[in-house]
Amino acid sequence: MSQRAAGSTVHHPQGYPPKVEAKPMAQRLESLEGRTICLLDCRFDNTGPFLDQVQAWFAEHMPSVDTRVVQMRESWKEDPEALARIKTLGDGAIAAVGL
Amino acid sequence: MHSSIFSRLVRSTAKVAGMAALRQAFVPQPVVNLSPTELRAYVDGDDAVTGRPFMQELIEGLTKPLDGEAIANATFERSTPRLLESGSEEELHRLFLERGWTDNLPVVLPTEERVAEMLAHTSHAPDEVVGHMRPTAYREAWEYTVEKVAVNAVMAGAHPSYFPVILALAASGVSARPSTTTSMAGIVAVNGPIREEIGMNSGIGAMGPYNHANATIGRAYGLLSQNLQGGSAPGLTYMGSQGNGYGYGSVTFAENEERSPWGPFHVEHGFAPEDSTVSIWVGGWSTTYMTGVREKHWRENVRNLLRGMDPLHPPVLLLDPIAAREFVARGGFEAKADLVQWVYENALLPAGEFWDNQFVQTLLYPQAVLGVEPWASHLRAEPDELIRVFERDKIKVVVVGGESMGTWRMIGGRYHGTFSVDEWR
Repeated sequence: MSQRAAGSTVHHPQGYPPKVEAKPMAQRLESLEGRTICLLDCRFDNTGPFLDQVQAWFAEHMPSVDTRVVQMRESWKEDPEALARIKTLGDGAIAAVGL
Repeated sequence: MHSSIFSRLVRSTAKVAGMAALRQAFVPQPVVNLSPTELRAYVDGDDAVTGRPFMQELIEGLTKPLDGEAIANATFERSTPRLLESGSEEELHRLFLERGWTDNLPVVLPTEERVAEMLAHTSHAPDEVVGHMRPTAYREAWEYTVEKVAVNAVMAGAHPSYFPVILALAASGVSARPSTTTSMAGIVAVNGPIREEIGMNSGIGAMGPYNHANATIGRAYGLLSQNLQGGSAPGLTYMGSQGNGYGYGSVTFAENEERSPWGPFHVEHGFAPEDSTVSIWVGGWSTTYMTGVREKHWRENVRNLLRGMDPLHPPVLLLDPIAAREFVARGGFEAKADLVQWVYENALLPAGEFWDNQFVQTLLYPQAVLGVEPWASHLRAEPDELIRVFERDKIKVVVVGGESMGTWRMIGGRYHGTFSVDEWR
């Protein structure tokens, strides 16, 4: 559209978005050898069986990696206890959904 | 790890959550209902978005250094101007359509004059913050003012006298454009004197496109939801797999208080008869209907309909006044609460069927495991034991219709509350 065409002046219909603040992110690992990786089950349907297959892959191809499944209490809700368990148990984590 | 259909959504969500550098890997859609063998093929296969081996994406996600530029730019401000640069009507209509600010039907352009006229119908200042809204729980909430609500009311073609009703809907913070994969829409019942004041329809055709106030208030609710929450774009901020025709008008109607055998809906929910209110549900995924309340088999008929409802969305019974009076005559339901109690006791499913529902598994099973009732008791039931599907206080009854026949229907919907219109006059 020509932004300078003569005619009507109208309001912008959208609301006001909040400022986006950077969140600190975990340092990446140099290698997974000998590390414990937590698999966070977000509890969407069939996520558990999917993570079983991810665990099986690691067991077959990278047996030095110790994988642990950590389950959220509920899908859609923050679960500080699950995140605390991951901090205690793991060197890294992968979250998974199943939709 | 995500399934590929959500790739745009999850990348956008990570960015607005301040984690633009977040690593994501994608398997094909769906994951649900696949066997272990099929799931293993996903793991052994390629990432459904990048085409690289899926497990390589996963391992590099944990080991490859993060993108420094993405981290450096993770904090940013966004702004929304008050006015757009001027243009011809044709150019502006095209702009609104291309930016996704409409429901893909023509809108009324929100000129300064039209918006000012809308604003004249509330005592609230244009810059007063009305509320916050988001398309789904995991996205950021956007803020909006009285003026921004007025802009969307103009776009919907609403008469300025409807504005307090539209402000009440906006102030609820409940989106009529939720990003649910199940394609839910808003549903609105209006009660109290405002119905007559602005000429709303509670009779013949009340839930259809036959009344200016009903139609444009409902449309305004949809437009303000998508624009004030920051969008409702398929694949990005809207994931309803099939979509929902209810979304065009948000099923907005007035309760037929005058012809109802019971008290008005808003009075049941703590308001005085002389108060004006809006009541909001989000649902409209499941709908069943019946003509009349038959003498011999009405109980069986209603039970059959209830079995067709989605267990996660309790039934909103929308009864023509004839049907409402028939329920009183057949069942002795002198109060709406009596009918609600009957529905509660007769909406039954074998426990095994109840738990073999995808969203019941996802959303209610974890609560059952945590001991939340009634789900915990339902989980202890034997598979063939009949359990009550809905919570009693979430079953609702509203009387609407023009008595051309004793029709009635049930729409599955979650009640989000009843909100004052008078506060926004």
